[in-house]
Amino acid sequence: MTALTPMKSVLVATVCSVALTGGAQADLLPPEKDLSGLEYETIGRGDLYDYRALDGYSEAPFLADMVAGGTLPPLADRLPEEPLVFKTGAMSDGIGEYGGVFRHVIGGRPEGWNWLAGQHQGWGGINMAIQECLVRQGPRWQIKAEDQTGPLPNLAKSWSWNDDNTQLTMTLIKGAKWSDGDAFDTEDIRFWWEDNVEDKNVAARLKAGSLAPGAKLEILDEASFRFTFDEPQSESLVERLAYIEGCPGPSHVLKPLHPKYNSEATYEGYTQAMPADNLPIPVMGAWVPVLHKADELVVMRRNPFYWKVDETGQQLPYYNEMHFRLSTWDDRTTQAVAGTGDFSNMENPANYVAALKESQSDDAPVTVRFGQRTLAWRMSLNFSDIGAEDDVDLGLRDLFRELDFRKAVSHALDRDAIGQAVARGPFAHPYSGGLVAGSSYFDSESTFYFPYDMDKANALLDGLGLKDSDGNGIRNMADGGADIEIDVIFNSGRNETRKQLDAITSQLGEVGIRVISRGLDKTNFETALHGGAFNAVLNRRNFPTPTRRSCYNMPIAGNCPAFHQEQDGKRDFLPFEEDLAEAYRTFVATTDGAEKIQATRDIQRLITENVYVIGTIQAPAALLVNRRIRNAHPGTPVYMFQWAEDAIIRERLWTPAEQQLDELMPGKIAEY
Amino acid sequence: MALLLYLLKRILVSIPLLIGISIVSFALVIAVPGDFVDSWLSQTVAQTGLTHAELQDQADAMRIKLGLDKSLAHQYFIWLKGIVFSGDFGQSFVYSKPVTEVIGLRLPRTLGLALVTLIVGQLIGVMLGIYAATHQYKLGDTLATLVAFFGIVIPKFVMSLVILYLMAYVWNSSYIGSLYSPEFILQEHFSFAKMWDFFLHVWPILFISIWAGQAYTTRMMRGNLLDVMNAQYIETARAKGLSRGKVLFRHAVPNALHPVIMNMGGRFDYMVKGEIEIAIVMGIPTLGPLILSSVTERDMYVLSAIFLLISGLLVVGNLLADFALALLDPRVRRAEFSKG
Repeated sequence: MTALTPMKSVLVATVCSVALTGGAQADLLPPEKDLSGLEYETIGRGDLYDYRALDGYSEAPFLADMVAGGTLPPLADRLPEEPLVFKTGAMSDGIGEYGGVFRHVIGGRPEGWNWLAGQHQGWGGINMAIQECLVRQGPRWQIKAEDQTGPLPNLAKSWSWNDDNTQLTMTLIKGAKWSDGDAFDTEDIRFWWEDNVEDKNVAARLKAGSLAPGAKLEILDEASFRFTFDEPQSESLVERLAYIEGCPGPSHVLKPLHPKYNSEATYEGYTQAMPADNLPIPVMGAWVPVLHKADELVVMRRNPFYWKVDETGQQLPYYNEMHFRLSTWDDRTTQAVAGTGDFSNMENPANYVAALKESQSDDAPVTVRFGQRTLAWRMSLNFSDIGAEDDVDLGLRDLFRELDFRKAVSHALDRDAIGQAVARGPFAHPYSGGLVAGSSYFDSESTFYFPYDMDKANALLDGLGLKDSDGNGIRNMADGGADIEIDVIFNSGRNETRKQLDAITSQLGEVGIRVISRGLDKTNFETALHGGAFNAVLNRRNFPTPTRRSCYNMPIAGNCPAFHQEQDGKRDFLPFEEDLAEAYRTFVATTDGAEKIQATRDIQRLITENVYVIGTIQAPAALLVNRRIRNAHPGTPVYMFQWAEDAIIRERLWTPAEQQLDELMPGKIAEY
Repeated sequence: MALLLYLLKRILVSIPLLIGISIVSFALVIAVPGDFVDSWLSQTVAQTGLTHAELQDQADAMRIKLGLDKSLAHQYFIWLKGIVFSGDFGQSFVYSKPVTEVIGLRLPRTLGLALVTLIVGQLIGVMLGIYAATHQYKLGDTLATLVAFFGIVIPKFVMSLVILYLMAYVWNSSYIGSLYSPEFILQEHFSFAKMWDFFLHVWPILFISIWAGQAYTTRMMRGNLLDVMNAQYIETARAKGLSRGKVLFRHAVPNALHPVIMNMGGRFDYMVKGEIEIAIVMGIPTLGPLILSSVTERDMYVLSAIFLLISGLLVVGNLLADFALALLDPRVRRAEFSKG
């Protein structure tokens, strides 16, 4: 049950394509340059894991000793009736060995452990290590396109819709337990929903009323519950029940601290109910945080009640201990390269060649694993009048709404040169907007491209009446008005964006358009972007699937995308935007695989044919993974359906016994 | 008595200075556009995939809860009132903890490292200066001058980057980005093994700071000593038949040391700033990385408090240096009182 990788599909489709429907002036995006060595097979939806009882189970040896000593219940009493079983065929290095340590380095700090009240634990994989959610998104990157019908099961092992799609019934894994041994059941779901999501005094990740209009929860029994909605919904709604919105917390600990159940409790106190230094806490995750040394380290020990196993019946995880060194985000990469951290993302193509060289030495502690091209940069022109400061801004934004102007800008960009400015070698590839080439949904025949062609760019600009009327080398607005000067904001913390903008400034200068770059730090950049205080923006916006980062890419709500927000409650759609929104709605509404694929093709065609954004380049991201680590699947993307920490499935990573690192707390589990 | 009055006068002058510093600290922090909630929004959007619009209500509520909706003057006076009346520097938005707790963990590390580098750097600088002055134009003088020269001209962050590169890429060192190895983080009691592990983590800070710190002192001591050695009273001492060592260490060096001591207050400032700069590059959890993260995440009370505390410590440092000098040199306290 394998399929071609998206990259191979692109090649085949591109070579075979002869004619295009529409887009007569456009080319197809050229075939991708091969990233040597990158090969993986996509699998069917049922090939990754399922839920079933096995003939027998086994556990980490020190847990078996504890059972023998009477300090821990037998494994059979700790596992659910039908645990989640990871299939060996989908493990790149097969069944693992128990023991050792997996070391993360993160730049964030735990706010507290009450994720139900919106607290984070420091990002970089620590939240995901303790929060298990109803469904799971990360591992979907490995599933072939025709099986991409929705998220993968997790705490909810199955779900079904009624005939008119107004009721969603979910069934939980039966008999699973929190890490302190308390039963995980629908009371946890009720508490999560009624006393957190629906309680407006609690800053839950899933906001009251946001799942769907009129959403109501009904508990059916201890393992099943039902959502009822005012209007028909689709499978895409279930994605909201993955990390970070659909992760229940330990009601048996939190209920007594919630103001609804405790007249002396306050909401402020409830938010801080599980403070960062107060450990351990009960989790459903594979590891339990047992120690937090502020600004230094969080240590997690294996959860003896974890509810996932491998096909031989070994209870997961394989690692006994997980560390989160509390350092800086930059240090995460440094420590991964040095071998003192086991995992890091690398998303700046400028570092790729050096990191690749470094990792090729025999004694290098780290491997660099490139994924598909899922990072993409684009320049978005602001189509809305929101945030315009004067008539010049308004004039520019009118101009941006002209398709020929956007095509001209696209033709003026030499994307190969831009790519080489960012990273030498085969990493960068032209990007024309829309879904990235590494997406399971990418279809080259639906991807239009207006490549580098100065003559076409100049002709299009001339055709719009944009002449250099004052002879200063810069074209003027059609009425002989102001010079065409476009201020482009970018995140000044991202060097790869700065380098691209330097190249774009020079290239657009060649066709008489002046670019004024305005670097802003991350916070001010996002504020300016969402406040409409820009005429153009150059940034990285990954678009791997229509339901992730949707608002950044499609007009699916009044404030989406940031470069075309509604004004005074009114939409001022460009001719194709309504169709684009409709294609998105079709994608989320249908459960039919073929219809979904067609909708993604429509989305891709509409975005690229109409140059909704001016794509520049797309490149792969890389994972730095220590050589000791097994089952880190080749091709795991840094971000597709979820961040790599989820996509790589840490509970089934392992290290051969002879290479395992010493544990800081050998033989220990969380004591409550 | 004169000494005490001198000290009292300097302390009284410091109070308005500290209030001024508090205003400047706060103003500098709020001058940066955006606040913590903007930063929170930006980070949460990036990490979760939720949109700004989806998070806006939560952001608005957070702004009210944290008092960021109030006027800046109001925020400043609440902050100052907390410091003056209850020693409360406010709450860290990022850590959800009192600022004193957040800074309290890191400030001693920065001050301790700065103090060690100050003392060792000054001692090495003085000794190298003496050696260079007494071996003028010889190989030793040239070498000492060269070491001092590189210590002055190479920026500390460049040295830090070079060492970080070597540690990470060449040596694959395991002593990066923290104060202790994990096995010692859990060890509560003191041990020499833990101390050695600490040293292996912080040696880049010590090495770079001491190198940079001794450089100026070496140059100053060399110049001063050469001047003093040519003074008439040194000639007289020699003429009286005193040994070379006695002339040098009893008469020349103590007099050449005055400007070095006078400069110590300023050097402490230099060492603190140096420690912060190097720690930021090396990712060592002292005040440096906390300053950087507080700026990027707009953790305004942490940042204001750090500015205020460091400035306050520098004022105290200068005060102590002045006091030491007045103690050493009666001309200083006499001159101070003759002014008015």
